[in-house]
Amino acid sequence: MIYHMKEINSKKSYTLLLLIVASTLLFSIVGNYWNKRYYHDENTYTMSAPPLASAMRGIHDKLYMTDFSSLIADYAVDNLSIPSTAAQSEAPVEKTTQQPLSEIISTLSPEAVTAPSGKAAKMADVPEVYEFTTATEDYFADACFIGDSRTVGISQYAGIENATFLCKTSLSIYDYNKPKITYNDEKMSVHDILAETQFAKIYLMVGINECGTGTPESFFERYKEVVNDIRKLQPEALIFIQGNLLVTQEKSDESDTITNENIAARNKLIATLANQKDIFYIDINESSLCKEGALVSDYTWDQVHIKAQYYPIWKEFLLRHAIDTGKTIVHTEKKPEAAKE
Amino acid sequence: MVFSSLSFIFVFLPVFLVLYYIFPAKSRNLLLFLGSLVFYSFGELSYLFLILCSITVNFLFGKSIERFQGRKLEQTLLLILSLIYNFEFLLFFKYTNFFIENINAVLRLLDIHWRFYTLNLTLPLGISFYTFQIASYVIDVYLGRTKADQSYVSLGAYLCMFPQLIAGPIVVYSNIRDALKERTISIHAFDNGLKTFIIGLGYKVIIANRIGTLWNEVCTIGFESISTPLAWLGAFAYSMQLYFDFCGYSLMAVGLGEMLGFYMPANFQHPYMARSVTDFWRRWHITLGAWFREYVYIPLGGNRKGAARTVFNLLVVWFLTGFWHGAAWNFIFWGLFIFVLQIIEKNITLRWLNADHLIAKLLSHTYMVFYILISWTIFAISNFQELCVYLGQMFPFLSGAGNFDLSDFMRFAADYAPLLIASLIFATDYPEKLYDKIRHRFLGVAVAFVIFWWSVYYLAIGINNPFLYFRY
Repeated sequence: MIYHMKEINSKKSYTLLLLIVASTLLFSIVGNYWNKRYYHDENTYTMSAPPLASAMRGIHDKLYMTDFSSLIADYAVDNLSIPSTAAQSEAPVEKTTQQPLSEIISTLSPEAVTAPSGKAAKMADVPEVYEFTTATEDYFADACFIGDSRTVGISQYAGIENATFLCKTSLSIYDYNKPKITYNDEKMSVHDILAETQFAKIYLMVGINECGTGTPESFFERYKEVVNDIRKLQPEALIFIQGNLLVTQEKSDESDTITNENIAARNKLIATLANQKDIFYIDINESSLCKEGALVSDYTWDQVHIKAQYYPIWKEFLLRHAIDTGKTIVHTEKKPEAAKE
Repeated sequence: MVFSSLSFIFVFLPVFLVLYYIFPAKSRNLLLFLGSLVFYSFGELSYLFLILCSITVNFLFGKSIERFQGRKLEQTLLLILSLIYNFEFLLFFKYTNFFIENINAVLRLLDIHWRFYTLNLTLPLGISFYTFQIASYVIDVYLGRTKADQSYVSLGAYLCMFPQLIAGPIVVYSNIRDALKERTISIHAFDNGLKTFIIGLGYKVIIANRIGTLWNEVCTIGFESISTPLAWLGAFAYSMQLYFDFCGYSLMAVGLGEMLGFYMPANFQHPYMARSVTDFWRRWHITLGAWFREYVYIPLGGNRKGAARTVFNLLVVWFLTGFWHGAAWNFIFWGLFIFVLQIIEKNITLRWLNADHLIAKLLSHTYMVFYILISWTIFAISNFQELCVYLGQMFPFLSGAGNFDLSDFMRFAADYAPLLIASLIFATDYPEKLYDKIRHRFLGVAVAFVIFWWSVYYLAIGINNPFLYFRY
């Protein structure tokens, strides 16, 4: 009898071990399958990233929804955190069907690509090329800031009270169509918000989170698409492409991806989109926040973000790089509350 | 390699365990020794020779001390030599730059234009821990508490044993000696150890790593710009991160030990439930406190040589404890802060802190909240100026600074509310008591299973998305 009880107990002791071994195998198979099917084998297996890590990533990206139901299949693929070019190469047909109509037009119509110059031609009677001037605080009243955690920092600490902020930590250029921004108590994509409300100035700064993804060129391709889309949605707005703030020398030295060379290469590419007519490039790295091609280490704790007390330098820099088109654009649309996240 | 990594959980550990279980009992020490060297070399190949030298030298010292039995002078000489050997490396790697910087600071004060260069040293992994362990071995052999180990492999297995190699618990040789010679492994102990390991993993990955980002964000904002309430919240988050990180790691070590047939001492016993600083230090990093008690406090005379000498002995212990935690002045202040509080408690307040009525309980826990948050703040911030700024934000009436704009506090409190509440609950002993009730039932298995995969999930998406913890 006692022996019998012992038997049961020792059998019970195997339960957790066997469950873990079995589930590890299961997750490895699923991970391998998802890696082939949706990640195009981009997850290479190493000791610290075994196949089951792909399964976890897939769960994070909600791939199980894709497998469970073809109806919502596009949802997950659309939300992958990988460059859209890869997703397109996998299933171009699917991809097109899930694109918003405006996006399809923008990719099909050659006019859309050359929209900036087209617009400049329309405004032939006003000076075509503008120089930076200095503005006062109310300059930001009709401005909109789009960006990642650095822009979140601006929204919280720079002292810009009257602008609209569409920003979120870890926002990347690939998130442009994803509902990641809380705007008027609703989760919306940057694209949808810009389609709804007109602004006079749009500041765009993303790119640091993308440093680990793709090449500067692949990043630039997507960036260009987004800028063209914004151009179409906001025909009257001045677009300010902000160069990404560099990181400190220490961070740059220790990181494989977030290096100042990588950031500078990407900044250089996006700067080419500027035309000094309605699209401008401004580079915060010319301010006193940076010295010798790196962020000054006294201004930061984590080597990437500047401390709260230095954000006013950023605001001053933006005010000194203002554009005066001579006409006052009155912000007529419904004034939303600043959407800060 | 750390326990909370996929390479440890899914590669090193399974391979090692399979070998460990299929090999006959007498070759398990060798397997443990070699396996631990492999484990160590993943993190630090370059300092592997240091730990091998340490084993060899102390193996010889142990045997020699034993051979000179009855001849105290020779034995003492050998002991001193071995202690010099062991601690010189710890001193050199951990404290050289601290001393150089302080000498330079003095030279600057004296207006002498001469500076020493600081050295570019990386601290060998686990040296603070294994130095203390091996010292306990030679001292115990010297005192006759244990026999010198006649097997190089067995001593090597003791010192390198991967469960405790990097971050403790500090297992004293005499406690583990019998298990080194003969131990039984059973599926029951394995299962129990696995569950303990998983609880530790959950503490580290689900709570500590994630609540740690709050403290990082406070540092990112900069101490000059945070509000007083956020300063307290930041100190709270850091305290919780530190506890769950270290306690989780210790639990993982204990669990791994059990899976291999070793019973290691517990390192934490819900220190945040303590009602006095004295009690806190019987519950926090227990094996370190025990080591200082056994090998510093008692040899100095403990409390047997009068009140003044007791105070002095405590001062030495707390100075060393502080300095052991890091080579910077804030750690020394931190140690002295604890020393002062303990002296006050011993002489005045301890009696009523421990009193058994409601008001005493309330007051003692309130006192401990302040102690915990302030002492860990001093511990966290090595830069003295920054520390003053932070303490100034915590106590605006002292500094005249500080602001009570609640917006930053509200933002973080809302974001981290579930984690903050969970950390508070899991810092008490209730969840673990509850788990012990269901540990051997199916529910206990299910809970462990969920915690395991939940932790692995966080670890895995942390790799694929390096910006989970450090995202911009």
